[in-house]
Amino acid sequence: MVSGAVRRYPGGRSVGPIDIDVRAGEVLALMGSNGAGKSTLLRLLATADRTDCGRVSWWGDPSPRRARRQMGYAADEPVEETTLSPRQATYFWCRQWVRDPDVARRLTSETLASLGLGDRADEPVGTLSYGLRRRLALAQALAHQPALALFDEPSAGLDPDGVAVVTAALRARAAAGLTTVVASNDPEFVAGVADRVAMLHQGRCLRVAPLPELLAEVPRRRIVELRVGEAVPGRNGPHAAAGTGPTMAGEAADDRGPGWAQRTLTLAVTERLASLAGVVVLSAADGLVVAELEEEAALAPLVAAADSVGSGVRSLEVRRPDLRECFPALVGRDAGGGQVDAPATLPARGSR
Amino acid sequence: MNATMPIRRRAARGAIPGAAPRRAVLARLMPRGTLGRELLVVAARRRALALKVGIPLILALPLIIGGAPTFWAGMLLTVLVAMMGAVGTAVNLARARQSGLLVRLALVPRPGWRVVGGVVGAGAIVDLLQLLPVIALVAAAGGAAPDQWAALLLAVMAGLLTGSLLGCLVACLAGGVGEVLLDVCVLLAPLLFFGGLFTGVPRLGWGWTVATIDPFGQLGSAFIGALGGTPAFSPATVLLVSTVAIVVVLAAVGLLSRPLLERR
Repeated sequence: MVSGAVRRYPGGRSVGPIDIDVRAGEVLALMGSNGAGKSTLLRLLATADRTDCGRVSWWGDPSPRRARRQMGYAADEPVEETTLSPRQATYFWCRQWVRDPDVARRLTSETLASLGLGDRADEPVGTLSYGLRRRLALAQALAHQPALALFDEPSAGLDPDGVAVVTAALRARAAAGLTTVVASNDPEFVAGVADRVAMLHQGRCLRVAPLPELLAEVPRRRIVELRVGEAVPGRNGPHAAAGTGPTMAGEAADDRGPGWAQRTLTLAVTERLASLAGVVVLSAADGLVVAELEEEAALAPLVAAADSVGSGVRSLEVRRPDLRECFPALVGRDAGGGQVDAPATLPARGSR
Repeated sequence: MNATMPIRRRAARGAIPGAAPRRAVLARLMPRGTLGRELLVVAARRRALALKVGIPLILALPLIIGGAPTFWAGMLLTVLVAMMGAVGTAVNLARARQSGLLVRLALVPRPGWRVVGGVVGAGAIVDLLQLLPVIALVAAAGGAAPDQWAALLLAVMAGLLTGSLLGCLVACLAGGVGEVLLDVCVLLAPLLFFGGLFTGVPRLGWGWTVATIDPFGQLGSAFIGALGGTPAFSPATVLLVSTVAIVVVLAAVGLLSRPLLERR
């Protein structure tokens, strides 16, 4: 539990006051823009840093020494001696908590296997890729099965398979009643792993809520995806012949370069939508136009506008915004619900 | 093209140091604490280990074979031991802080003296091992008596640990690895000077007292004695003072361990 915790840095920058209550057995994700205070909060929880004022307690106990007995922490940079093997490195950290060497050996092997490092466990760490070293750092923090595990950007540098493996490991911890706090700006990872999400902004915790609740905070908004340019399988266009992919309807077989017709069509649709009230075009590229509806009523004019383009629009999909799209709006909101420095609209995907 | 890929990958793995049978032996060793971990890391770096053993020998050989005056040879060898202990520990700890290892070690539920003591102890053991050929050469060349051998060995250990203590202090104060050498020299210079290494041990007064309790003064004397010169202190005095110095230094490292681990 963090109550009114403030951490001041040289130069006048400070984080806090932060109030947050981590529940037993949950996976809590800390999200926020760079410099929002995620890593600082994580270090305070990990006892790696001290508050300048306020209070941090673990299971009702303010003693960092006692808290360390039940804690595991992995910082955002994987650090390990390159000459040791993952098994040796993980065993070493496990043994700092687990007195029985046989139990430590078993836990080490199980943890490495659960994070997909079983077959590389006896190779030097120096031979592992960055992603595998990230997994190793997590294994070292998890091997002793701490009641509270704290990870800074655990999905950074991981491939999709790695993200799935780590997600599964953290969900397994939650199922076993063990608590995990992750600081992450990876919306897909957070959506897959977190029970609750804490949104941090400028050193303050704005909201702590389950993900669906947070997403519902942007209730009126809808995202529309329009695919422009119909794919014509088997058409013998100049690019199909060159093996560069399917050609698009409306793509003239002239010398104006590959994808020229599609770009023209995309531009036409974008201009059409941008002229509509209540519609904000978020991105337009490669035949995909993403727009945001600021109100439901804007949907009908948008469909009509898309229809007017003719056969150029291949598909139209309306959906709720995902965490990635909600993220800037959520972190830009102050505690009272007003806008602090949030943009009027969500920024384009490509800019994130 | 595709058929060659697995072969290339295997070759690349094999080229990485440590893939040899040595790995098989070392890989079976599981480090329990920081002492074991540090020793394992050092043992895996054969080239660095060979260099560490070779360099003191290269420095000592001309002194001993060339028949350098025992006072100067003793002084140079003492400075070598002091620098090895202090710089080695300070650089090791400063690097550990920069890499984030010290932060992680600070969070383990173990007493700080055990954690830091393991790092310092491993450094001192490795330093002693790499100095053993030099000590043997010195004692053999000077025709040292058994009590002088023992006094020299213990004085070297005390000198290395005192250097390590200074290294811990420097690691607490220094802003980074780059500062370490300067800080070590600033701290070591007065200790070496008051140990009578450059001017000889005063016969009386506070100068004699300081030189007597200074582990580097004792070490210099032990080297001079082992090389066949006239030492300022008897082997019994060297043994006694070095033993006390080792105890005091270990206690001081214990006291410094928490501030060292928790400094950010």
